[in-house]
Amino acid sequence: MIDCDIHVQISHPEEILKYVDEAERDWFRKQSFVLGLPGYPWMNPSTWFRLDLAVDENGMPASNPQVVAAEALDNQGAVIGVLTADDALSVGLMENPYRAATLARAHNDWFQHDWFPVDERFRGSIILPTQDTAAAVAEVERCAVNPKFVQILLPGGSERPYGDPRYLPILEAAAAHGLAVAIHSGMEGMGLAHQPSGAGTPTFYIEWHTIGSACSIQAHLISLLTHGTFRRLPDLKVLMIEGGLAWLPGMLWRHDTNWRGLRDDTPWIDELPSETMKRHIRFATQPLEHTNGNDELLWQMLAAVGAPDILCYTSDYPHWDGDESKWLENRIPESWRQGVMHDNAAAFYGNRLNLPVTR
Amino acid sequence: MSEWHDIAAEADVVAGTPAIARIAGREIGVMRDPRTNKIFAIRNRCPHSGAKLCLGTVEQRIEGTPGGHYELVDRTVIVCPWHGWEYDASTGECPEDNNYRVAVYPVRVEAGRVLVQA
Repeated sequence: MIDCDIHVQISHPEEILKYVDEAERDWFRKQSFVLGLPGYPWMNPSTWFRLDLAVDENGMPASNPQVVAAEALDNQGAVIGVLTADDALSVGLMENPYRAATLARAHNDWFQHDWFPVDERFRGSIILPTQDTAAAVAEVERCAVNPKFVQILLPGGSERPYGDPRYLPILEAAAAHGLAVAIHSGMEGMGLAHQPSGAGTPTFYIEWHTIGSACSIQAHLISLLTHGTFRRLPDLKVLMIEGGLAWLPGMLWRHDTNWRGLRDDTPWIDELPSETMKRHIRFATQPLEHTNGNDELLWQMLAAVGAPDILCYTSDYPHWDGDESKWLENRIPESWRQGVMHDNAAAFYGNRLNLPVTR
Repeated sequence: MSEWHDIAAEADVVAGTPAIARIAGREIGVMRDPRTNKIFAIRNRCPHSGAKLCLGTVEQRIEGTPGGHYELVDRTVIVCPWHGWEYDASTGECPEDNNYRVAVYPVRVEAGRVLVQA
C-alpha cells in the first residue's frame, strides 16, 4: 500500500525555527497563530485528530517520526508514506512573501533533516511561497535534488486558480524534475486566499468542510484544464487531495458539455477535457463519501470518468475524517484494490518514488 | 435516390439570410459563407438538440494554442443558435464530438439558380 497523504504535525514552533536564521526567529515567535501562518476561521467543533493516537508531551499526535512510522506505515501495511504539511500548507497564503519564503525553506529542511532519515519509507512534499513566483521556483530547484521529495504541495485556497499563468513557472519547475503537483483542499478564506465559494463566507465548520474544501479543488481542476496547462507541460501530473470524489463525474460532464458550446473562448482545448484529465490528474480517495447504500452507483459513475486508474489511496492520518486502509480496501470493488492501494500511485510518482524492489 | 432541386435565386442567398426548402420531409438551408462567398447546403436541424441550425451564424473557425493565442483558420463553421455547437460547413462534422454530424448536400449554381442534390 502507498499512502499519499500523511499529515505530520509541528509539535512546537522551535522544531521549525531551528532552520530559520537567527535574525528572523523572533518575528515568527511573536506571531499570534503558529509561525505566522494564516489561521482557520472555522474551528472543528470537536477535534482535528483521531483520539486513539499516541500524543507527545504537548498533546500532539503525528509529531514524532518513529510514532508516525509505526502508526501510519507499520500498522497500515504501507510500503511508502508521502508526508504532507498540515498548518504549513498555508505558507503560500501568508501576507508577507519574504517570511513565507523563509518558513517554506525551514519546513522543507525539517522534512529533509528530521523526517526522511528516520524511516526509508518516508517521502515528502515541498511547500512553497507561491506569493512570489521566482522564490517558489527557486525553492523547487533547491529541494528537487533530494530524491525523497516526490511532489510540490499547494493549498486549495488560493489567490487565483492554478491554471493562471502566474503559477506556470512553478508547475513547469515541478514537471521538469519529475515532481508531481499535489493540490490539497483547505485554507480557503485564509490569508490571501479567497472565500470558499461564490456565495460568501460559510457560517459553520461543516459548511466549509462540505463545500469549501470541494469547490476549491473543482476550481483548480477546471482551471488547469481550461488554460491548456497540460498541453504546455505534457509531463505535468497533478494529484487532487481531499476534495471529495462523488461530484467528479458530474463536474467533468458539465465541463465537457460547456466546452462543446464555448470552445472558441479556449480554442487550444482540442479534446474533451475529461480525456485530458484521465492522462494527467489523479484523485485521492479520502474522504470517500458515504452513499447511503448506493456504493454500486458511485463505482459506476467513477468508472465512467476513468476509475479505478485515476484513484490513489490516502489516509489523511492523523485527522478525524481519515480513511483507514483496510476499511477503504474492503469497501471498493475487489478488482480496483491493487491499483487504488498501490499501483496507481506507483505509476503516478514514477521513478521519483524510488520504490523498494520488494513489497 | 437523390435528385437536384431548385432552391432559390443565387442573388437571394446573401450572407445572413438563408434560403430554406423542404425536400422529402426534411428542411434544408442554403447559406452563403461571407468569407469565401461560397454557397453551402446543410440540414436545418442541429443533431444535438434539434434547433433550427440555419438560424445560427456562419463563422470562420478560431483555433489556438495555450497561453492565450487565438488564430483564425481556413475553415467555415455554422454555429448553432441554441448552445453554440459548431459544425463544419463543408463536411457537417462537429469538430468537438464526432458522435454528432449534420447532413450537408452538394450545391451547384446554374443560370442564376441554386440547385441542391438531396
